[in-house]
Amino acid sequence: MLELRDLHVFYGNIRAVNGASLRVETGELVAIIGSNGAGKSTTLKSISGLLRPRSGAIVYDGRDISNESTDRIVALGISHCPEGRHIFGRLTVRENLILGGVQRPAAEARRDIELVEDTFPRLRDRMKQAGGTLSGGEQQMLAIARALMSKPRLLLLDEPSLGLAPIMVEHIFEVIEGLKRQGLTILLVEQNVHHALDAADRAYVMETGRITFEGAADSLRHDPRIEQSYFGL
Amino acid sequence: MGDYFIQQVVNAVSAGSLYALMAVGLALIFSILRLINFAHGDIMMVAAYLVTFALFAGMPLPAALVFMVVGAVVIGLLMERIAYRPIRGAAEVAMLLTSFAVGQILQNGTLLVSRLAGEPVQIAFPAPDIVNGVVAFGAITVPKVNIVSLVTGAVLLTLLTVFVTRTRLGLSMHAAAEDLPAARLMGIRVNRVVATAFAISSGLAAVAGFLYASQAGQINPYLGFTPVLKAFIAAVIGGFGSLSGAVVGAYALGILEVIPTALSGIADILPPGAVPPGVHDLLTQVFPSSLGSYRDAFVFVFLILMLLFRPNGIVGGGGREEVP
Repeated sequence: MLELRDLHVFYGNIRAVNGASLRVETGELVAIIGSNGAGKSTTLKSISGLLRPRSGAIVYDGRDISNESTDRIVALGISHCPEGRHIFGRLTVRENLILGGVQRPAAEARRDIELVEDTFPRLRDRMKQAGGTLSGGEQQMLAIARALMSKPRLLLLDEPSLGLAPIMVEHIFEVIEGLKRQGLTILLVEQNVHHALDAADRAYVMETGRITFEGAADSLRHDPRIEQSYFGL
Repeated sequence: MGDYFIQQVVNAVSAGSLYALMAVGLALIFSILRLINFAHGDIMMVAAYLVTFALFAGMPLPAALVFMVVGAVVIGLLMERIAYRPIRGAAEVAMLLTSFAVGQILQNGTLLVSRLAGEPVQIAFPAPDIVNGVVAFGAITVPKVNIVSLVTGAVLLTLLTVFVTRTRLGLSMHAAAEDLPAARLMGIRVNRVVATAFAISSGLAAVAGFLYASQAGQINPYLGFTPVLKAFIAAVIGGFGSLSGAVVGAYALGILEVIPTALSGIADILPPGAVPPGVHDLLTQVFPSSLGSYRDAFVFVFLILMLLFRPNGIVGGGGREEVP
């Protein structure tokens, strides 16, 4: 479904992604793990068109989308749930969801808000509340719910567990696994390596802008080099 | 006494409406682009010329007003497309200087067209009946244009509120103002949102231009400067970048401006014998009739105090803006 070929991305003169290649098949949950500043978020931002890669290709459904605008990429079925959640804090929960479905027919999107309420019951009672007044965990749920409102075929999830209480992390990963069971293709960036590898089918390890390991999540979990770097053993 | 008070309030509110129509346009564009569009006053000026020439050409008033608004919107959209879009995201100073340049171009363009049409620099504004003359309510007389400003301001600001809070395009505008990258991730077409903001602000500026010219009685290519400055002050007083702040600031400014004038006449309107002669003399000395001419100084002193003690404006939170 998605393939990155030798992607190079810069912030000004600073090299953030240095020749990354990866692949996501339909229905897969693929994780990118790695430490801070490894280029994981930059990779996602390039896929969703927030950043322009300097070279390399981003092939989605057989076409290169590396020069498409973000609104076109959303229309093609890719939704990006950004790191730090980026809820519109002064808009209500419902308004946040409406904006998530901004490209779809209004009536259809309105019906989907009800479906979202079923998946995220905690949001139901908060529909009229300003997004900024939600707890961190609720905001993360809202961010995922909002990203789903565009009816994506590929969901990019950036650090969904960051800064959340352990019980909330469990809950968020249950949601993610539920989405996978429904057949959604997911590319997950996560520093919580344990959870990421538990949920994922396959994983890539990124270091200083490069992919350094890749493989089935199971095998990576037991790889001594991964254990050493990321589990602190 | 009561009549005098009511009259001053009507003056304050009608001036406030005019500033509000201008200030929300400034705030709308600033909130999304961080651009202080000083050419906004020149859109207003061009609109005053458009309606003047339309009326000179014999167009009926409704057609002339539509022509004015459509013309101003088109010029606003061209301004965005040609001057502002290429420098979007540039340093705020670059955008500010560009807006001055756009203003100069509009002023000189208008001067040129006006000359080619054989008109003098200063043209008497052909104010139509609806804004010409006064209406008497018992003992008070109010210029018609003040009533029209008040009503128009209320109607247009209500419509704008409904648009911004009840439509998806309006919400998109809010989203783009609050968090531009996140708005893009929603699939919001930012160019469309920005163009809409310019269209709305130019349309409102056009209406303000018509009302301003009706009040002033004459137009010239430089008439936009004072109103845009006032609108800017209003937006700062209210809390820059917020639409509600701009409206609150605009009415606050309208009231502020009336205070010196109102006070200067206070001794004379007291009924004879209401206060001892000594108090009457004191009032005349403390509030001399020349006080009205210190109106702008009064406003600027208030602005400085606002910037010192409440820099985020009436609507914004207290304290200083954080420096990142």
